[in-house]
Amino acid sequence: MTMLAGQGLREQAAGQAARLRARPARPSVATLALSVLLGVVVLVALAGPLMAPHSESEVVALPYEGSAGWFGTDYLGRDVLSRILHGGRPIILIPVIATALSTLVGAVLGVAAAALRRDDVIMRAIDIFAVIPAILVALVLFHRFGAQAWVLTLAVVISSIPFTTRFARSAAYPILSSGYIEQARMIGEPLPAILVRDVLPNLVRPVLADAGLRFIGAIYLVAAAGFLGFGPPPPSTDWGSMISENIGGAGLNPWGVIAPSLMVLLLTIPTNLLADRFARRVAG
Amino acid sequence: MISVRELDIRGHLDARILGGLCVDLERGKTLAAVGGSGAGKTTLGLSLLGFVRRGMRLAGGEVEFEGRNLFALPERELRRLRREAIAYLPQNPASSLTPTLRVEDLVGERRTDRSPSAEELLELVQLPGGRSFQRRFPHQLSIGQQQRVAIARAIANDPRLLILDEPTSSVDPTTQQVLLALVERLRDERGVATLLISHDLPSVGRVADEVVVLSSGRVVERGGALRVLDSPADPYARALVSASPDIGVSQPRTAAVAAESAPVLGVDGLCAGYSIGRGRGKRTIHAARDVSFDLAAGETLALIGRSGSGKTTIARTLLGLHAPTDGEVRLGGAAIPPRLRQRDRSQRAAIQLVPQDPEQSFNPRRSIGDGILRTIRQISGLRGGAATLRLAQVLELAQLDPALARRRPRELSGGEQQRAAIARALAAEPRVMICDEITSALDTIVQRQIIDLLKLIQDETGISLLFITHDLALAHEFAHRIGVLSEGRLVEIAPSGQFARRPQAAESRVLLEAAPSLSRTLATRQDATRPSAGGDDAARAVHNATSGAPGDASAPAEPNLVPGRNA
Repeated sequence: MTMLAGQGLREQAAGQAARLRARPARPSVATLALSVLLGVVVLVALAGPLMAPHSESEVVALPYEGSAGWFGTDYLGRDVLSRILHGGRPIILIPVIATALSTLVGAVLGVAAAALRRDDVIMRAIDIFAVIPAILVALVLFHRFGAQAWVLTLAVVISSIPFTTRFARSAAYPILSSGYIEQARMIGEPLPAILVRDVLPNLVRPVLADAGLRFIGAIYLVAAAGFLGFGPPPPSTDWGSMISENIGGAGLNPWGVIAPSLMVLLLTIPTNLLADRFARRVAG
Repeated sequence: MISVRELDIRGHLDARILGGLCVDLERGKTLAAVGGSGAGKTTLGLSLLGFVRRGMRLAGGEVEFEGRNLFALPERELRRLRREAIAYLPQNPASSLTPTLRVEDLVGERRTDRSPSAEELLELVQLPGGRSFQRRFPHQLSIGQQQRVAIARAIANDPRLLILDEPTSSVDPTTQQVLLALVERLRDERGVATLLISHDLPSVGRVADEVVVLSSGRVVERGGALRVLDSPADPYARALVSASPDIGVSQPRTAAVAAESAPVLGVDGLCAGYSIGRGRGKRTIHAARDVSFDLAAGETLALIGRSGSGKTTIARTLLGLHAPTDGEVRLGGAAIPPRLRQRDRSQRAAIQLVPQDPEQSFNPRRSIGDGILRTIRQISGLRGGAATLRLAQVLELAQLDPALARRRPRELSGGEQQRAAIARALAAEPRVMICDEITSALDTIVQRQIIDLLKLIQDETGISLLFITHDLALAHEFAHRIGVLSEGRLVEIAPSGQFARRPQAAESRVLLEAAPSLSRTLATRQDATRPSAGGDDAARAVHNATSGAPGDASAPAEPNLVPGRNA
């Protein structure tokens, strides 16, 4: 009887193990395609200045000349394609740096709030920040410090932290009240050791998934700041600034507006879909 | 009415979940599918809805319902049948209630023109049918009430086929009785056909007409319920039946405990509570009131009681996870601090927990061997090779294959997870091991193996066990003494044999009365079918005979155990 039942169990466990090993399934065609598309856009943004036929300030033809080069010229007669290739860096780098910073700070604050049960102090302070619109934070900071890259980064970080903290806290909470944390406490392991061994490793995936979604928000904010005229100082540019620069001549050379808009879309849509897929997989 | 023919369902890597399964179910009959976990019972139940779970596929065969193959029906037709003709009650019925709907909407949602009114449905499951009850939301009901609302909701469509998936394993005993009575009533009054999926053999014995025993997706035995449960032919079926705890036939554990030795664990006037609510609504729930008992070396004391009787609170208080409001815990005669933080390493090591949900008690990202090693390092201070050696020792003691130590918790079966948790507790070399409902999630065969393992460990190490359970039959044969908790009070504590023969407290009698017993159930039914015997009287006679006999035989041999203060 024991042997019989034991065999059944072993079989079942083996089946389970096989199923679990097989779980990290091959990425789907769609995921692969999105990743390739995103890779190309990021590459163009980062290495663009090396590929550009003209510099960002060189006047190549009359303003809004549609037939010059691929995408014609902008409001000052500069090559739109070259300016797109030059203007990709800020919209990638600022969100990457800002998301990394805000995720790090948010994770620390969130885990601290959950572990120390100091919800009242940390979370209420966070709530106050959460109600201020991101763009308002950015505008106030620009007013005080000027439109500089680090100011924009800071604005993104400040407006993201409430959300990353809130998320990290809610992700850490069930882990902290789980059976294995209780087990670790029962044998007397110190809290920092428990945080490092049990909480953080189980937090990495959900927090990364959240960071992906946060990253998209950061791209929007950087693009919006550019559009509102808080982009890099002329003659440098970014895609958001280009849209507002050329919108007056959209009837003469629509590419001056369409091309940077397309670039923003090509960056955000795949990022959004990929982050979403990842978040859904983490959620199970 | 429903006929499953050559049903073949495959899982990942074409693993067989169900292979060539054939069963028939007629109107007004109850068919029970029994078997251990992983036998394919739930898959069978879902297939009667024309449904195959994600990750599995239909590889062959058909399920015919009233002459039509469910797997060949268009989706619309299938949905109509599920809505109008079939009721399915999942394993954890309370979880099927939408939290934002009121009772009337939950029940009303599935009603059809032919259905009884919501009020009648609620009364059918012995709930108040009144207006104020119907206006409540699920969170305003007790768990038992939620379960019964879920049952009323399931049958609100006046079904012709009822599928119950492990209906009795997660519900409290009262709801269990309501449910079984309901199955009988629907069968008799409305001719409902029922598929009962269960490993709870006493319940099966009560209501089933026919039984199929499943093992690894195949029927290993089938036949009339009385015949299969009484004298199964297949070895697996025999194992299943003999593993089922039965207060009617089990022998109480004869005590081999040194009565004169000082108690290992002493509990004195322990009180503990929780405060719930805030501000003016704040009140205290007293989960343990003046609880006192002793635990001798090598002894097993079972704490039994219904859900909410304070069993788990007492365990958590002993472990230092919950601060008592009054009273004292003594270890080897000396009082120890109430809070975990104030206890030193040896005090923490002395009392170890084997939790109810072992999978949850291991970090899902780390191997279970790693989890056990943490206890070894933290408690005994061993490092490197010495720690690994100790790991091998405790794995052997818990009879867990060392190769499994490299796996993550979810890659183990329920029984293996429980062995891992036992190994981890043993790694601390405790004097007392608290087992909190450790068998309730396991099927009866695995349950039996775990109990046998604990007995063996106890013989080898002389450890004392506090065995918390709601299964009186199991407590009766595994524990030297049984303590009964009712509303936080220890109302009785007595040696197992004496307890079963002469229960003192009213609560003890209630629990004994409700204790599952396959032998009694079968005896009652056999008598009911025999026209010469006078129904109830005969049943009572058998009941008295079976419960009295084994206890009496062992009575004189019983030494006097360390008495509890409340005894």
